[in-house]
This record gives sequence, C-alpha cells and structure tokens, in this order.
Amino acid sequence: MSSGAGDSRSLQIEARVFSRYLVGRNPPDELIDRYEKANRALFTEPVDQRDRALVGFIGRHPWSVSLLDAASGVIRPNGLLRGKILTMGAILETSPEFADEFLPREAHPATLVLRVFTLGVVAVACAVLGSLLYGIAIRSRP
Amino acid sequence: MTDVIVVGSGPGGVNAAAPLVEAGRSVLLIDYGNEDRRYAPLIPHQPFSELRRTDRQQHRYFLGDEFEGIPFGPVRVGAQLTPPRVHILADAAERTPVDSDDFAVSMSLARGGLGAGWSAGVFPFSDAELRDMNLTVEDMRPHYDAVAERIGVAGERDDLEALLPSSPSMMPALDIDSNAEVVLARYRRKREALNAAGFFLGRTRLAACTREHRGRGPHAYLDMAYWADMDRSIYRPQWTLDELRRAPNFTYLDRRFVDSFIEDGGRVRVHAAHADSGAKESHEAAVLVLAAGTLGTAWIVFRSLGCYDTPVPILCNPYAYVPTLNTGMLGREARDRRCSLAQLTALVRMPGGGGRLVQAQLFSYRSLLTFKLMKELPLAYRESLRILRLLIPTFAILGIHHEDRPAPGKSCCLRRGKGGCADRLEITYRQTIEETRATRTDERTVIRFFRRLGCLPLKTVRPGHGASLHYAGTFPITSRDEKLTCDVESRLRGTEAVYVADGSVFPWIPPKGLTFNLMANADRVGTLLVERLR
Repeated sequence: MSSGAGDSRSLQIEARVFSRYLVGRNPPDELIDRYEKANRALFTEPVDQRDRALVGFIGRHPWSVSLLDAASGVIRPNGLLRGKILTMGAILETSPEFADEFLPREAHPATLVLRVFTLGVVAVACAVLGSLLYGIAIRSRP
Repeated sequence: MTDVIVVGSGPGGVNAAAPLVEAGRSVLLIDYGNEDRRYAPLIPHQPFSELRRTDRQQHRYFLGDEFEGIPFGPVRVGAQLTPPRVHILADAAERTPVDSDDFAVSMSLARGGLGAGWSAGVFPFSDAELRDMNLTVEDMRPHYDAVAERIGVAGERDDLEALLPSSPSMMPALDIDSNAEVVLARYRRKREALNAAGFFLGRTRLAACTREHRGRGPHAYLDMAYWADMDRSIYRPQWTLDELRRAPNFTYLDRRFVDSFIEDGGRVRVHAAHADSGAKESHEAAVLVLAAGTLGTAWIVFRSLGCYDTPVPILCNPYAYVPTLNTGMLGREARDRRCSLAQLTALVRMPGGGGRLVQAQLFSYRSLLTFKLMKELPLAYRESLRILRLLIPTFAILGIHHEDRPAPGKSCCLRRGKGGCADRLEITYRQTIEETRATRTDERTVIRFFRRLGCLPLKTVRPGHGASLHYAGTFPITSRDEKLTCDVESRLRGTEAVYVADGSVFPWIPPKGLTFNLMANADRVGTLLVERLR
C-alpha cells in the first residue's frame, strides 16, 4: 500500500476538481501548491486500495465528486476522499480571494428555512445516487 | 540566598510568587517556558472578518505551517488549541510520559502553562464548595480580591451574583454579542419562572480588561481570542510573569525541567535538567512551592518521595458541548464587533440533588473557521458549507460542566521505567454508573432550560474524560493526617517546607471551572509564606 498523498499531477487535478466543487472556481497556482504540500504533510499513512480508487475515479470523472462526497459522508466519513476535500476547503477558506465563500451570510428567516431545506434535499439525493456509484468507484483502478 | 523556589509559571506559580515578591522575599521561578515565536508575530491587529479578506499570510496561523490546524475525525480535546496555541502542549508528552486508555491528558511546559490558553472564566467557589478544604469564602475573599485585581476581571452584578460573588475591582462587562443578547432578553422575560425552577443566567465573568489595567487592554473586540493575545486584554499568566521579572528580588530561570526535590538540613534542594543541553543542576531555598500543573506536580512529588505504584485520586470536570440553533437570531444580523470567549453563564440547581449545581456557558461560533464544522455534518461538503454559512450566525454553543468527585475508578500513579526507559504516569479514569447517569440527566435538564430560551439542541458532543483540562485532586487539602495529602496551608504532608499551589490540592471540583480558584489558593499560599518567612 502507498500513502494517500498521490503524485504531483494527480494532486493538481484534485485541487482543481475540489475547488470547483466547493466554490465553483479554479484555484490559483499558489493554492494548488499549498494543497500539494498539505497532502504530503497530512496523508503520510498507507491507505486502503478502495480509498485510492475512489479518489482516482474522481480525478478521471470530475462530475462524480458531488455524488461520491455525499455518499462518503454517510458510508466512510473519515476516509481519504473526505479528508482531501476538507483539506482543500481549509486552504480555500484561509485565502483572501475565497474567504467570502466561507464567511457567514445573513438571510431572511423564510429564505433561510427554504434554502436549508433545499440544500438538505439535494444532499440526501446526492447521497442516494452516490451510494450507487460508490460501489463502482471503489472497484475501479486507483 | 533564595527564600522560595516556585516551579512552574502557570496560573498557580505566578500567583503564589506575586505576594512573596511584593513582600520583598527573594523568589526563584523555575520553568520550562515554551513560547510561540513562529505564529504570533504574523497575526495582524485587525478584526477577524477584515483580516480574512486581506491577509495573504492567514493560512500560516490558521492552518499552521505543517497544517496541524486541519483536524480530522471527531471533536477532540483542546479544539480551541489553534496552531498559535499548540506550543502550550509541546514537549510535555515526551518529558513526562503518561499511559491512559480512558483519559485525555494535556500537560503543558509552556510559559503560562495551560493558562496560556485559558478560556478566562472566573467562577469563585462558595462556602459549600470550599468546605472540604476547611476553608470559607471569608478565608478566601482577600485572595479572590487580590487575584481579581491582579488579573483584571470584567463582568456584571446580575443574577449570578448570589452564586458567584464579585470583587470590588470588577470592571464593566465586555460588550455582549448579538446571539447572547437575544438569549439574555428572553431569559429576562421569563426570569421569575426560571429562577423558581433553579435556573440563573448572567454575563460570564471573564479575566479580561474592558479598560486599561496594568498596561493591558482595553479589549479591542477583534474576535481573535483563540489565535492571538495582541492587546493583552485577556489574562494570561505570562502578563504577571512579566511584571514579576521587573522586580529585583525575582529571578526567572527558563529552559529547565524540574525532576525532583529533596529536603536537607532545613533547606529544600530542587534537581533540574537544562532543556537543551540536558545538564543537571540543583537550586536551594528555604521553601519550595510546586505549581507545575496537577500532573506535572504529581510527577515531581512521586519521584521525590519514591512513591512508585502508589495511587492517588485524579479528577477532571466531565464536559459536553451542545451546538444549538438560536431561533431568536433568525432574520437578525450578527454584529461583527465581538469577543470569541463565553458570553453567558448559566448555573442550574438540579432538582432533588441536594443543591447540586451544573454550569453551562454559551458561546457563539465564527472565528474557529467554518471548515471545522463541515466535517461534523454527515452531508456532502458543498451542501454542508452552504448550510453552515446560513446557520452559523444562529449557532449558540453550550459548554456544560459537571462536578467531579473522587471515586475508586479514578486514580493516578507513577510506574518505574523499565530497561532504561523513563518513569511513566498511569491514569485510570472510570466514572461510576451513577455518575454517568447523573451527567446525562443533568445535561438533559440544562438543555431543557435553554430550549425554553429558544436554543434548539442539534447534538451533544462528549469529547471524553479529561477534555475540560481541569485536572485536580491528586494531593488534596484535608484535615486527615494521611500521606500524599496537603494540610490546610497547602503544605505537602511528610515534608517540612514543600507547598502545592495548583489544582492538585482541590479534594473535589464543583462544575465551575477551577482556574480562578487555584490562583486564589496560590495567592493564599504565597501570603502564608510571607508570614512564615518573617
């Protein structure tokens, strides 16, 4: 088994995929470098083949990230994929150009309830669809 | 000739040293003294929301150069120990190894000890809570007042006054944040019924300066209290240490690890090793005050007296977090100008519990960053982020503290290292079934009261035994003449001139937070020693 960090090219792809997924934009090179460094610092332990397969699948099929993240939140919340997306989230949150995407936002009570409900429904739907895809992804080549 | 050696620069050490130094006694304070030199200089003196949008270096202190600020897994002990605070725990686990399966141990070799990350709550004990130490509030009042003046305390004389007596030097409370303001307004409308049911709510007394005091403050409301001490308005023991170091009769010796002491011919000799070179040295004085933190002091006492395999009690307030949704904040804008520390304190008298109290503090959430909450939700991160951005202004986090008393399953002892390995502390901590049941029941009661104030609980997080970091009870003050206890003067029995001035001496801990009380007891020890040395 190899460590969860991955090679440089894969990490650059992951950084872009996770950034687009979380905040809808590509990260600047500086944040991609930081994501690489963070991976090399945090994911030093050998990881399960299925974890690597899941991350590799998303690298090849970026459209699947929302589904597989949602499914992992239920099936494997502390797995490699969740760790990597969280790491990119932390990096984006602590950069001035993306800070606003993470700072609290005020909303009218009715809007808030509606938005939270809608987001909850979307998250559950993604988790259901994602769990179907999850079985395929973890059996794919890493 | 040194009159007194104090070991440790935490809340106990500096407050024991202060009255001695003021009285002209020569004091040597020996300390390991780790400091954060890496992150503190990077943090700009700007409000949290402003620096988030402008500072390109923020990732260094928010996440850490080794990304140590990105936690995985469930909420653990010391969630508030951010990268600029991580030095507080550095080196301690290597210097004083501890074995425990069921107790999270956080020891400190930092300048200021665990007090360098203190959440600054000031909760003086009542007569009932001091009784087991053969002390009364009247005995302690001069020391509570002296410490309150030394550290600077801000608060209000409100419904908590009867349960938490204030000191004459108390400054006006810090400005309340929007979240707490709503909860407090609801409480005031229902006060009569809530008080009759045993629930009292008020502003948290904080060791913080709302006006300039001893060269510190006033508080600047930057919402950076978990990251930096820029205006020094929130008390840290280092501020008292800085004052002491200006006195000619005070010597500070850092980079030393104290290993043991020996009494010899009316003097106490302290054996220490240099932190960097490992060179052994010894220092001598008429009196020794141990204030190395409960576990650090246990290590020194066990080794000095050769007490291997001899269990003593260990205590730590059980603790739980309850994130709640404050419905009163729906549709309201949260003020940006705020302080990250506890806003409100509730004291709840438990029904049928013989006057047993439980304490809860209410915090708002923002400056510990959103990504740390994202991992707590079992949802896709993108949706979690969008939900949290909407809900964070309405989050009120309750921190619930319970009392802790000695029990057969809670013990600490020193095991001799084998094959050239270092000695190891061994801690066992198991609550009785009755204690576990009582804490769960008490949490439900507290949550019920907050529900009446519009705070809907989302989940209860129990970070595990040891999480509150309020370690105590190893060498308790008691009237019983037993080995490994202290007399009412805080002198360690079996010694002539070794005093203990940290959490070790408290025979049980009320649900209130110990730090202010151990500082007052340390001040009492220092004051008693001024008399003794006269």
